[in-house]
Amino acid sequence: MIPLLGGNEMMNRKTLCGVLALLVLLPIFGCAAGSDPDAMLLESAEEEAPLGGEALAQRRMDLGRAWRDLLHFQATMESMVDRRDSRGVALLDGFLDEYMGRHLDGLLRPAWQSSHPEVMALDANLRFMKAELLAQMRYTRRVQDAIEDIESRFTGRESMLVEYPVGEQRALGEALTMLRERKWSS
Amino acid sequence: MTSNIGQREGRGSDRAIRRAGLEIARLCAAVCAIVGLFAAPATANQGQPAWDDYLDFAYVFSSSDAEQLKARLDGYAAEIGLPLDAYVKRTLEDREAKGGEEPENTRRRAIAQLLQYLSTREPGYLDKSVDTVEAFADKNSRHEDRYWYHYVHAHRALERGSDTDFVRHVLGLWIDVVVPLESPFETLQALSLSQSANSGFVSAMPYVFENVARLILLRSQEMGMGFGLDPLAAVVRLLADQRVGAHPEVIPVDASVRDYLERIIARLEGPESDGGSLTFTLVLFEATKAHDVSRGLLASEGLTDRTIAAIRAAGSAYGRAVDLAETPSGQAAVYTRVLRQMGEVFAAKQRLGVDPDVEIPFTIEGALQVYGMLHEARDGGWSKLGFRQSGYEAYLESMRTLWAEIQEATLNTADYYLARALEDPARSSQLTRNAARLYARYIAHFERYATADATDFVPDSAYFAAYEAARGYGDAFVAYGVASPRPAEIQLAVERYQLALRAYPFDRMLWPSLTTALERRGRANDFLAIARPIAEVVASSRHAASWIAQGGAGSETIGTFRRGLGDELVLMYMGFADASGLTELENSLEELRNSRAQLAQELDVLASRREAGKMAAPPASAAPDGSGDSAVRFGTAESQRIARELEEGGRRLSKLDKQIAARARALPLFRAVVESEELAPALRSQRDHPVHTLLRRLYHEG
Repeated sequence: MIPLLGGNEMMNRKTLCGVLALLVLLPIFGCAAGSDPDAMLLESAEEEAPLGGEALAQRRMDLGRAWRDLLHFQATMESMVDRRDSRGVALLDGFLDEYMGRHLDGLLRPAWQSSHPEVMALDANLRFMKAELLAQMRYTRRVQDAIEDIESRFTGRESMLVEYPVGEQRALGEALTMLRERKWSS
Repeated sequence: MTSNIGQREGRGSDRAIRRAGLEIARLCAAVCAIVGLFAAPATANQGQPAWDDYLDFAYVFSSSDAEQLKARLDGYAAEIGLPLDAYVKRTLEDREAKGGEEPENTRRRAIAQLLQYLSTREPGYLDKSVDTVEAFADKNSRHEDRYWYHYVHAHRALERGSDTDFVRHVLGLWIDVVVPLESPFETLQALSLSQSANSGFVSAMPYVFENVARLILLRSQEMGMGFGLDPLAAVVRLLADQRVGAHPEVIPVDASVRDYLERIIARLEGPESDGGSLTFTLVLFEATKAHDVSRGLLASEGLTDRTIAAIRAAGSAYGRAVDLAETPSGQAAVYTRVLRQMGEVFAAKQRLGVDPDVEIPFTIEGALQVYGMLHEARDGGWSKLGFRQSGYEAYLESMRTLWAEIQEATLNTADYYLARALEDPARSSQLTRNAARLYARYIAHFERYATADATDFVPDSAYFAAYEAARGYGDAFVAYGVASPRPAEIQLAVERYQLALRAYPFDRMLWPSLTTALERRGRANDFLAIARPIAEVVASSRHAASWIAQGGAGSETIGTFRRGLGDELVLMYMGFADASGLTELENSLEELRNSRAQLAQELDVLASRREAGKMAAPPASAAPDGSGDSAVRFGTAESQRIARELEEGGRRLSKLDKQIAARARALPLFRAVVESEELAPALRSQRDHPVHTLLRRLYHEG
């Protein structure tokens, strides 16, 4: 779970209204409190439980934004690879590594998300897009991890439609086959 | 020919500059309004205004330009009663006295020092700000602190010319600040709390987007960062995706860089992209701005020293852009613009009658080579020329646009040489040959690439331009008086006129030009043999017939020419007759009719005499006055003479009848051609005129 508002962020203003606002927001998002182990446990438990209502809508929004962001990263990475801009690729590579580690992986962690009818398509698309980016960055091992993750999460749902490559709809099983080939051809 | 220049030149440059000026003014006013709205409540809440309040909201105004920022800081200083440098000094003294300070005070001092740098552009302040903000080097620092940490460091990277550090800090800002705060910001927005005083730095997100956009798009270029920015294309795309300009309730659209950002994105992903390179896009955009400035000066001042300096600056900027271009796509984008500038300069030289030395480090040959590269990839491989993201349509558009600029620059430059040739008889021959070389180069380009199946790669207007170039080439040797043209050159002029007629048969004056050229070779008699096939194509054209049937543009003129060219006599008139002698031709028809009437009368008399001789069995007595009207005895010598005269007269009469019939049919057609509306001026000034399409079809129909 992404830290919603750093504790000191909110307390900065030291006003009653701020506290009230925090109280309003806490139940909605489940705010992580830095490295507090209790909070982490709470966060973990919350992540395992499917979201609903506003929180689900928020998750949809987050996944949608992440999908669009990955599209932009992919377009940029692709153009730099085409132009053999190795220095630029290295810089963006470092950024994407951090983006995935600090943001995207957390967003994709919950198991319920891959089978929830309202978000599973977005969830699957996002996983394929992440794998595609990793393939472009030539992280073969991580692409394989992503493939295995998709296989385990979507077992029995190979006919589900996903967007892979971008702009094309195909069955998840077929997309996985393409991704396996892509792993070595990038 | 020379009068065409003004029509080609109008490209709305003044309008673009005026629009840019208005945009900047509107932007400044709006930023001031925002700062007023935002900063005022902050101070009002505290009672006495203080630097702390203004500095906490510095993200609102930190992107202002140096002059505005200085005025703003001076205003705040007067309001607070304490200059900013005194504030900085005081915070340092406080820290000294207390043996430490709260992180927010450290942040405020770093911001204050940054603002001092931004308002004075004195790097010493920036160094101090960097030293201060190092306190937030830890990734776990608060988001607000991390924002300023990266923002200050990004400025330092620009100051030092370090593209790698600049990219690292902008990407760092995104990952440390934007990524974690976006979701909460959206939530607060959904609850209408995003601009609440209690929402902390989250509420600054619209400004963070705006400031990052300005940092990458404007500040980097202001600081001359013309390299290594490509990884930031990702951030630019993110900013354009529902971020910058998406919060008009916080930052009015007019005050946002959204329009600018959208233009950059359009170029980054469109036909003018160098395979998605942000650096190239920004450098080309800056070059375009320099071009706009020079164009504005050209329009307002003419070719003054200032204008020439501006033209050179724009040329150098385009030079930097073409050096950066790694793909034919990028090269085509630069050439397209620089050729336009070249055409404008030559047009201005011709219009103003001056000839200063204006160096533009590009040649039309370079553009022709780039077109050749693009053309070679038409059957595959085009995407590797920098069009993978922008797509096939962008590839085609790039080719057509480059072609259009090649033709405009060629025609403008050649027109300039021909105009100079008229003004300078001593150099006339040399200048005319220069023009002829330009025309010849375009014609070679046209003949190589304008094939029947090249509709997608060649603009329709290329055919009319080919007519202009071919006619220009012929005129250079036939009408402009190149000294002692060689027979081969005259022969080439004849061939060029033929090409011109094929490309645009609706120029009445072109047909006699062909005759003149043929006469120079002593081959005037060949006119019909050469002209007839061209005329027949027009007269029997299915495309022209369909065009006229559908009432397409210029149908009247096209129909008139079609009817005229279908008649050989009209064709002869077009080749040999002068329009001013049309009345004379019509008078000659009247004379023919009179001759015919007289001859008919004479033959009637002769016929009567012969008939009278047949009626009288005995030889008739001679007429009392001895005239030939008396009856003639059949079988006499006189009778035989009359018979011969009647026979010969009949033949003459028949010939006259034919002549009269032909002229009576042809002359009205010729008059209609002479009096038809000229299409050329409209085609010259409107490169998207629908008749261009018909010209292409006609050319390939033949």
